[in-house]
Amino acid sequence: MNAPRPLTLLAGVALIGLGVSLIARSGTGDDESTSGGFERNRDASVPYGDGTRIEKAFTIECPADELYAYWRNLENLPNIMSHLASVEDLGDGRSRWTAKGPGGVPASWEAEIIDDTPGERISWRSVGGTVPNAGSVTFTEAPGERGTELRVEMEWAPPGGPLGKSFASLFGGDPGLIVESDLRRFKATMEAGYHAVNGTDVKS
Amino acid sequence: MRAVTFRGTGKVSVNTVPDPEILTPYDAIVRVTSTAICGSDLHMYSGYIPTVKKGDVFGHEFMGEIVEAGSEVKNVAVGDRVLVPFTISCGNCLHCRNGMTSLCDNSNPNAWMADMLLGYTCSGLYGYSHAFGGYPGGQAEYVRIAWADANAFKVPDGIPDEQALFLTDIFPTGYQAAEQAEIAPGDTVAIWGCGPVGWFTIQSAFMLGAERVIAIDRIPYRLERARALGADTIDFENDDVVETLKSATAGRGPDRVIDCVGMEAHSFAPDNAADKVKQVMKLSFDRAHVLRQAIYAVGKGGVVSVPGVYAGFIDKFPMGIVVNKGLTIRSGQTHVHKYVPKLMAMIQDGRIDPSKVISHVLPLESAPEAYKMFVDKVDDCEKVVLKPFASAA
Repeated sequence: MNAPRPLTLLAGVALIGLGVSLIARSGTGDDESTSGGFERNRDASVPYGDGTRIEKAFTIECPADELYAYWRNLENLPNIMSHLASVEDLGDGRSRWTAKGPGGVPASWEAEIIDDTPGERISWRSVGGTVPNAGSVTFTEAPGERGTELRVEMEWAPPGGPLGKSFASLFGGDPGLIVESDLRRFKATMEAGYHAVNGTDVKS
Repeated sequence: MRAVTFRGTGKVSVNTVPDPEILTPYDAIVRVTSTAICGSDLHMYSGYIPTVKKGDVFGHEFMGEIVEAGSEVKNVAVGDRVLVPFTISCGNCLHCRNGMTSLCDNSNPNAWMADMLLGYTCSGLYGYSHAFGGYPGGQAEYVRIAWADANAFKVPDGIPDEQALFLTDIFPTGYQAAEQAEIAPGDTVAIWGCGPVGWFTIQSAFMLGAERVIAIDRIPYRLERARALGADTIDFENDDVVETLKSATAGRGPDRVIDCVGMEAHSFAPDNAADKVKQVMKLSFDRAHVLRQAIYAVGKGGVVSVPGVYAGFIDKFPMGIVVNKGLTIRSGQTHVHKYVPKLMAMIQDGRIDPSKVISHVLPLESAPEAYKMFVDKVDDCEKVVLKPFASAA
């Protein structure tokens, strides 16, 4: 039985964890020895505290292993993420992402996986390019046999800056709402084979 | 194809619209043989439901024949005669697996709208606003149905449309209303609203063991039909409902009360006059006179069951009565799927004849007149069934 936790603090800790891991691994090497990673690091994809951040969570009636397997095959992701045109797996944890940009002009960036724990967690960050971003997805068992809790966190460069703005504009609207509807599609796809469509409303 | 579409408050027309298409491998297309107008359609018709747009195809009580099926559809096939619940189930989310299909997580493509209105989305509904999915409805020649395996129920041979059709909504709605009222033997059950849902609720209450049912309405032909089912009746235009109920139960009050009216309650009571002004002024409060009266009238420790449709907010909610009398309030859109097999068996056993609720059978093209007749309660209009292929039948 877990002790009661203040929920706002929980979210904060998760954010710090993500920020730290990005900073720790984005500097000189791939070891995890960097301590006190709260300092800003110019080389981080999204330095902690600088990014715009989204966190969304859904509970899915499906074992964590299956959810992980679908997600880890990154080339599946355009099926559920409406604004992605393609994801190409380049091997060695690297991948090339292409979004349907505004006005039909595609935007592309390269990403690398920085944490891959089968059945539990995948974290990634962009490498170079014009759209600095990073994120993670975690899969944890829901209480009382209610399936798996899926939690996605994403950060990208400041929305005020030209880079962040360009990333947000890729989504053509409220990025939080976009991520949420993408995750709904994922949930419905995993639970019921396909996401809901009505043939009349324009997809959000 | 031809379909009944919304044109604006108080107006529908029959138009030619594009035929539905299979959009996912789990879909099927149904050629509609019978479709009904529901009291809840009148809430949209009268402009009380948000996110209804001009051109929307209405209708959520329909049945017919499968004429096309997607590649993943396994349980039903082209040629099957099926009925389709008005609540859309994905069949596999936690709520659907638990039989609470109107709470489906996955079937509303506009979940973000319902999230804003409700906190969490509920199932998509056919022909019932964009917040509930924007699915084109069943008052049409053809309908695309989603997740056909979970949502198309085969109709046994020998059960005519008129018997099976109301399993799509109002029979299960009445049954759930009575079931969630937790009726025990010896109970007196008071039911507000003797429209079609009330008619099924009265019968369901008796089937679940009610000793006595007291039905409340103001339309003479509806009260007459309630009496024909064995209910006592109160005409709220002539009698004080609360005092009559109290007297009829020798001071105990009804054990269970059921609001089959919902957001457009009629009454001359002051609270309803205030509610009506606010609705007309677009202050968007539902008219909750019946719900308030039911809460006031129910006996101590009683259950208040609410199948009637409310869309948004009410005010002057008598929470003090709920607390002090120790009441339980139960509600919900109907989990139709859970009830279809059981209630179909009751029809087959002859325990109930749902076709007796029908007062008019008309071609689909007569929908504009039928809506007007239903909303005005003229020509003893109880329940209208529309036939999209009337001339061919």
